[in-house]
Amino acid sequence: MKITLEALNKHFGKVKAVDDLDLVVENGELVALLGPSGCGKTTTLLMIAGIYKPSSGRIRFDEQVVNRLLPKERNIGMVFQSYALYPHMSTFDNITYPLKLKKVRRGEMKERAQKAADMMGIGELLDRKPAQLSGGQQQRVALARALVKEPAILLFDEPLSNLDAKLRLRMRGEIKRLQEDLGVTAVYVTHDQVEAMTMASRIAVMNYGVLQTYGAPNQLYDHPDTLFVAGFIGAPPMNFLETRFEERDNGFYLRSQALEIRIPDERGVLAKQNDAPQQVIMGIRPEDITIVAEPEGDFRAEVYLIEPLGREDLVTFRFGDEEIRALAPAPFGGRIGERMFLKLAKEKLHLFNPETEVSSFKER
Amino acid sequence: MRGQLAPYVFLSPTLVLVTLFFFIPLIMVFILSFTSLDMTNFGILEWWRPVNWNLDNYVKIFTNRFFSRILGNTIMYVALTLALFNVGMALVIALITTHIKRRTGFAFRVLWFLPRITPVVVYTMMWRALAGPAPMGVLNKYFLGPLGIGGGEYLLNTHPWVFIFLVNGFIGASFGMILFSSAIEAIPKDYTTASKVDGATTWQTIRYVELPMIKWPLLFVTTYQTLSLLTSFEQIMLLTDGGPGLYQTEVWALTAYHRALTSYFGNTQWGYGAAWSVVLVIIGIVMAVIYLRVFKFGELVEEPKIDQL
Repeated sequence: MKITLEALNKHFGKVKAVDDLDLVVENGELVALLGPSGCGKTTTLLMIAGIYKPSSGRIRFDEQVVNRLLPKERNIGMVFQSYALYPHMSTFDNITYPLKLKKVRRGEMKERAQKAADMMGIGELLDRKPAQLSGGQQQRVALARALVKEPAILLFDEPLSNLDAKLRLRMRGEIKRLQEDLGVTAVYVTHDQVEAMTMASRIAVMNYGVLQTYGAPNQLYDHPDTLFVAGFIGAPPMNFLETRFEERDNGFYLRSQALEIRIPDERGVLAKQNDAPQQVIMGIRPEDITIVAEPEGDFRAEVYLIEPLGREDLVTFRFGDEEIRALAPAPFGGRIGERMFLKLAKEKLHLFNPETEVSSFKER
Repeated sequence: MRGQLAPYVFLSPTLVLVTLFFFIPLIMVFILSFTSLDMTNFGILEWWRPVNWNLDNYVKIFTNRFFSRILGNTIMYVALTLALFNVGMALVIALITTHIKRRTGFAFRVLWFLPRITPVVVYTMMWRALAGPAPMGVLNKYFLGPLGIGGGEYLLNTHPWVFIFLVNGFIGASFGMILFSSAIEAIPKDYTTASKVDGATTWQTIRYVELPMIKWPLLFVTTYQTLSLLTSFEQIMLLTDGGPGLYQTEVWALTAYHRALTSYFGNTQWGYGAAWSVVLVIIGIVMAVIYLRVFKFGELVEEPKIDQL
């Protein structure tokens, strides 16, 4: 089922929890709502579920406007961070609760519960109470409960946040696979950008109730539209430096006290078309910085901190008053205090207008 | 050594109070119930000596010609007050006030709770004034009279039980109301959200999710209120004193009080009254045990079965 949000607003008193949100989730797609806590992503989810009534705007499932439909009329399955398994009911009763409310026959109920439980690999646990299950098992029961009524839409509210790191990785894959196998439309709320990147076909980044950007994970990673998105997506995060944007001698340059970089002409033209101001914020991801021998280097910096990550080492450099972090293949040869030459991948640079926080490389 | 002593130091105030004002009186009443101690033999009868102990008082209780009426009254009083008000109405108010706007619900509960801080004598006397005969009684003058209902009689004489239920119930419901509503509000939002998404109506959410989750407050209030209703008699004493007919509204606790402490013809039968009290204590204990069984206390302390994480 296709979900369309049109000019959706939700106010709690004076607080605008969701501000004029437009979003389309295509049939069978898994879309992640990504943002820091309090950004309005869960409020949006609860409006789709029918728990909150929108202050204004419209929610459509396919072509039908569902603003006034009760949750029970929306055919939705939902999974919570807290699992929200009814503690007084056995696993079986938890899974069959939606069916019981639909007055499904006992025999069919048993069959469907067993099928859903087997699919989640918890067929053996049907007689247990939630308190007798581990976190991972509880989450599987919650998934089985959401799936048992064969919903048209699956909603996830940070379902993996309470699991330990290893289990989270595994469940991440399982949920994605399950969603693809069933072809069910899903909205997945998370504050974890890795989760969003790996699972979603498109990511909607939200902040302060406002949709920042909406696009495929790689699009967001390679061409972030705003400063917020650039800083939020990617770990370790993008480096930002305040620089001056200058055009001279038929070239475009970024200049600060400690460095001067010529950027590719077509990028410079684009920035110029976008009215890039004199003062701009330059962004560069740590993996787009390489340590080189003197002649090729863009500038010199001093090693300040080395953090081994296994496959790579995260190295923090200092130059002037600035700090920049680079990923170097492990083992990193340098020592703290050593001065080295760094080279930036010019085609991977990002420019942001410090006033509007919008990318100066944004295609119009 | 000091570490082992510390818990007892902290427990001692409660232990002293409970011993002085509960266990010692209980033992004394228990012993007294086997004697014929009353005002006429006070100072003569050596009630603490086992030779003076017998079961006469208990025989008297169970052969009393009003025994069945008193027992019936007590069962009706406790069961109906409990079901209709102290648990029933308390639950209804708690559910309603937690499913409307938070502020409104809170204000309503505060109002309902107010009589609790009124002295019971004042509160009961106000009800007597309400029930008064035609020109003085508020109910008769302003409600029943204009509507043409009844002949303006003293309502406590015509409908004593109705007033006994109302007087006890309205004040009794506030206790359960506070406990239930705070228990309901403590239920994490995710459960009710999950239930609604699973397809439940508000009523189904209450029935299948919220009520089972406030099982413990329900058990506690039911048990506590059963016991306190069993032993309460002050409102009935002030309203009807067991009347208006012969033993018409007399309940067990009131009988114990009447036998033991009301002086008529200089005959205050402490021993006999004590026997009534002892039977009441036993009934109370039996009731409490039954409640624990019915609510399946054992299930809640089951061993965990977690074997893998």
